[in-house]
Amino acid sequence: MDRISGLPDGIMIAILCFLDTKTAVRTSVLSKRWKLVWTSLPVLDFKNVASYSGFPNSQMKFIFFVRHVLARRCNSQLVKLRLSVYDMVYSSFSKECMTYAADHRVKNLIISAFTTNNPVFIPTCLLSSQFLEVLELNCAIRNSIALPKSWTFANLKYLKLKNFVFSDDNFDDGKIFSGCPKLESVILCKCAIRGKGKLKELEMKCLELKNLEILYWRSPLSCYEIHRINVIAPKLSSFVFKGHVAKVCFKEDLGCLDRVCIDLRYPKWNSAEDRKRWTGECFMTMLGQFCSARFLSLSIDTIEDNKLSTRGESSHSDGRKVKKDSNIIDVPIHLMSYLLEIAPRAESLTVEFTKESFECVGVRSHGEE
Amino acid sequence: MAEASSSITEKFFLTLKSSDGDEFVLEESIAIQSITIKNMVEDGCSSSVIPLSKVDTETLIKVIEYMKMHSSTSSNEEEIENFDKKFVSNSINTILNILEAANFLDINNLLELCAEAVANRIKNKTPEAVRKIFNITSDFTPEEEAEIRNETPWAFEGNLDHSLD
Repeated sequence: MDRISGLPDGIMIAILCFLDTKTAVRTSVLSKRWKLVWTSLPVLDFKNVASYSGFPNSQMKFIFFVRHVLARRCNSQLVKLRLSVYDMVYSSFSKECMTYAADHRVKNLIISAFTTNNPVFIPTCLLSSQFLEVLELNCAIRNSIALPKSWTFANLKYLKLKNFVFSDDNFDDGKIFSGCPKLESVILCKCAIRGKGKLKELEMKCLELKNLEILYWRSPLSCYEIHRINVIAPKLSSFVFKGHVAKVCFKEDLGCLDRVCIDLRYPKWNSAEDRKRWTGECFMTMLGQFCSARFLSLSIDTIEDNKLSTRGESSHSDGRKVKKDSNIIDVPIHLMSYLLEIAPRAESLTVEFTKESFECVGVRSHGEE
Repeated sequence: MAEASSSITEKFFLTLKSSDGDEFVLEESIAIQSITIKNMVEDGCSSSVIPLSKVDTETLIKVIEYMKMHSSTSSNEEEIENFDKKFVSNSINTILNILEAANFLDINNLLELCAEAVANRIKNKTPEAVRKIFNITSDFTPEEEAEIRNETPWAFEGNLDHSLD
């Protein structure tokens, strides 16, 4: 027998765990030795790519495949299930997969849903899973997944929510995280609080939380003063903020804070001078909360635009120098002194040259010269 | 602090013996990345030579190389990353030997590194290409193979790679 087919089942399974399920199932045709190895995999990874042949035919094939795999697999344990969809999938089918995962005591669940008509309701059996450790929910189109009124995940450590709107219809008390006492990482990406409604504030009381990322917060700008994310996380060590400014209030001393990364997006259009200035002021307030951070990392956009906005001047000719080749940027003196003042424990300040922001800066400075 | 300094001054060494009979002396702190060896040490079975009857010399050299690089004190993250990248570019048969050794020695990181490297050779390939890469002979009749393909036709659709890289 060849080298790989002579390996014990355990090692063959370890290899197939690194493959998506479509590829893993394809190995069944290699030889009799391989025919059933995939049925013992503890990991399932389904992905449907966008098809141009049209809904629903391509989807029926995908759904047929997933159902076949779920029916044939004989490993009662499911460590991980990922369902990533890049094309329309019936909400009843997404729910079916989540129910299967809950029934098989899944630890790591990553679901993205893509549906325009009815949202996917998270099955009740999943909402109080004590096995779940990692949960990622992603709405490919907004409202593809309906959030519940509450959930209880006694052992959840990692939660990522993408493209959700919190409102009176779901977590009406704003306490999304109160049922998850062991959370260590929370990532909210492209989320928002609905503009109209009673819900104004989210409460994030996570006593074990170490990492928090708030990315591209989408609440309406008119709600900036009203909408708030209140964070009570005494063990927080890393905070990442990207996108337009949002009110994040830290209610406890951040004594464990090690690393803060901020990549602020400023309004770019010409008539937004007020908004730019106001964003700058909010940014300074936000910075003031991070005086115990040891590493502060700011994107070049964050610094560049701040120079303009916090002075309350809208002049474009205030001598910004950005040399793309030599990697020199000006950090405004007032920002520098402010940073030194607020962060006596800081060991380093990093200005990030992300590709995206770099191009942005390059184009702007070119126009000014 | 006292404990840490005593472990620096007093190093313990173990002797590992390959299936070819070659002996390798290795610091205990490095060798116990292998849970199998760690258990032997804790059970007091390590005073003399530890025989590794399932690991040949060539493979054991590679495994020791890996454990030295990954032992907590000596290397930084970037070095380790570059080392791992180069490590998985070994021939597929060498990787499979190391994979089996890592399984026997219970070195989880090494097992995962090699398993992923093998998986990467399977990814996106047609079954025919996978058979050639790993020298697998199909023992299915054409009818049996057609039947398996018919069970999950979707698994065989899409742009699959015929090359043997």
